[in-house]
Amino acid sequence: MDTIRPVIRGLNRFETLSVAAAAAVAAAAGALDVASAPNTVIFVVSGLALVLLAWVVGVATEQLGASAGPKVGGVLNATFGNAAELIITIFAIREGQLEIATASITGSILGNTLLVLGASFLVGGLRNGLQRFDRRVAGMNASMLALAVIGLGIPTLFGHVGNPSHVQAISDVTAGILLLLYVLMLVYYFRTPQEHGGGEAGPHWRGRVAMALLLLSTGAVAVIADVFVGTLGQVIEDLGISAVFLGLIIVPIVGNIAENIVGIKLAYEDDMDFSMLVSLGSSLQIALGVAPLLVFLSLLTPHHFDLLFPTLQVISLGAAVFITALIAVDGESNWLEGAQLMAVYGIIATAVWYL
Amino acid sequence: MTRREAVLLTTVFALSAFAVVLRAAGVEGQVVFVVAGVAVAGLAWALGEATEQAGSTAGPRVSALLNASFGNLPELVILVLAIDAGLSDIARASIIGSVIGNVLLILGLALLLGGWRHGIQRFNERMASTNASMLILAVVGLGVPTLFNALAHDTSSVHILSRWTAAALLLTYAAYLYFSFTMPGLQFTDHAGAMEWSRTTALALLAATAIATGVVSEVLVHSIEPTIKAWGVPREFIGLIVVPFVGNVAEHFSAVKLALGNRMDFAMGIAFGSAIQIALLASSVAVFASLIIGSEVTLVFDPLQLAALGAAAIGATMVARAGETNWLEGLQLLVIYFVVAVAFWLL
Repeated sequence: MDTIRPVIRGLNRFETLSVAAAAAVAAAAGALDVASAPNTVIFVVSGLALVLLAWVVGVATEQLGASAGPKVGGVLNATFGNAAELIITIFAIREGQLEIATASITGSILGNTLLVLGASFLVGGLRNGLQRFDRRVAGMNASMLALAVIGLGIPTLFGHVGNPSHVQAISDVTAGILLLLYVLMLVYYFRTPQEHGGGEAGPHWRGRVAMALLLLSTGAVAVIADVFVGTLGQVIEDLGISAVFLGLIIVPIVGNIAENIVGIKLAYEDDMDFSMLVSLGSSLQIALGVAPLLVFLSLLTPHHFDLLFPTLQVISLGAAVFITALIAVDGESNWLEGAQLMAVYGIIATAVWYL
Repeated sequence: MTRREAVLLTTVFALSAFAVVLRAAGVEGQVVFVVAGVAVAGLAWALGEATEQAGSTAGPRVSALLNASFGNLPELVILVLAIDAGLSDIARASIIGSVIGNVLLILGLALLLGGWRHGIQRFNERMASTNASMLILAVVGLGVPTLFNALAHDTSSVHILSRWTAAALLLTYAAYLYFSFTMPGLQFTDHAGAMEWSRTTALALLAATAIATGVVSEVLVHSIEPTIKAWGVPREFIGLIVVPFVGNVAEHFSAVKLALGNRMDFAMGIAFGSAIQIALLASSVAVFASLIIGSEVTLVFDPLQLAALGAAAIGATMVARAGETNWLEGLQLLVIYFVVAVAFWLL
């Protein structure tokens, strides 16, 4: 259909279409909210808008990064990669939905390390057979992830055995340490020479267009996230979904699905190093970047967010990281390992559903 | 069939018949238990031989599938019969016991004796790693319902969680079988021996031993309760150590023999393959069979049992990761098993 011509210079037809779709659905979500449509409808439409907007943010970041060189691209990715997730969660905290916020952190990490990595191994392995990746990078990511789980687990453990009045102080200090570590990790990555930047084609957007789209879509995420989070309390009542399930499964899907698809697609194209950077890297970003940031940003809201997770979530995180590390450190993957990871996710999700 | 095999087979069937007669004659439970236990151990050996012989006429894939299905038949039969007899705690313990027996006792013994004779032994690290991560998956699968039971305010849905978990484990086991059969260069079974038995003999013996296993296991299961009373042995010990031992003796011999022959891939294949089959297949069979029987078994385990399973999985993983083994590693696995056994004796 030649009727759809690129409206913005440099974007191909698919990109133009998806930017237009994101804008249209976002506008629809805003309109429905103003018109006070049924709550469930607003929830679904704004959720869909966030998925599309997150995708636009991702593409714009990638394009901007590609035109600015790999280092700046990395910083941009590290900053905007989970912008949607961060914004949704901070609004949830402002609304007092602390249970959802906590669960969405756990859910994002579990989803990335088990479901997305598992699906990548499965899809990639079925298409390409045995796949190889840099075992040193995978090992480092795995140990970083283990460290992150310890960081998230200690305040929880303290909450059980220690004096509850000190939990907030411990949580704040831990958040500071984790954030510092995240910065150090970024520094390490940028100082380490990289063999390839992920096999992506060069930028075909103009820098200014990419920048404008990035800012616009991030702004739109903030507006729509506010609408989306506003519907959550009612959704729990109307649909009978528990807050924990909403936070653990639904919110991470809304915030991450665009990235998830990219990770799986890369594995399908047999670029395992980059695929794992997307899935494990995103987990690390959530655990070391987003979670501590939420602790500090929540100081601006009436509710304080502590790194205090329910026991089942902490143990699930530990199990997820353990099996991921085990599977990742040998530098090879096959489809069965993918199925194993997805099975663990399925079992944990079922337990949370019934909890 | 060699003369030795013929004698052994006759002895096994005679013992099986003896066990049935003892039961019918109403002899004391512990005597029946011992005789039936020895008979089941013998039948497990006969079943293994018959499977191997029947498989060797049919090519490696079918042979591996036969091995995977009949290799742990005694354990599966005992498990289902125990649930049927209302001994679901023994059934659950025997799942854990069989897994730790395979990866700690059998593998430990194989590594110890093989390593003592050959020094450092090497094996296919890739298959061993896949096996090890399957075991970890099993620990997660069996651990989550237990954890759920400990943490949930409303434990009524632990049944549903167990069913879903069992379904996931069963599905992954099917994927694992398919993977092992299709992955080039990865094989479980040892095809060194050419066919010795005729196909009819092999199939007839397979059928006969399978039926006899069912009958004698029934006798064994029903003598468990009287034996516990007569000997004053802790229930956990019977379920966790004794019952799995009966089902695993045959595998002990094959694994140790292979390790002594420096064929570590096959020795580890037996120990890991059997452990994975029990942890994934037998546990889901237990859940689904109990649904049919009526007294539902959940995947909620005793914390100490689960800890033993976790320790076994981690120990086995460390060994499998290295790509080579020595006798000290075997000793380490045996020590873990010993400590666990003592703990359950004193429980």
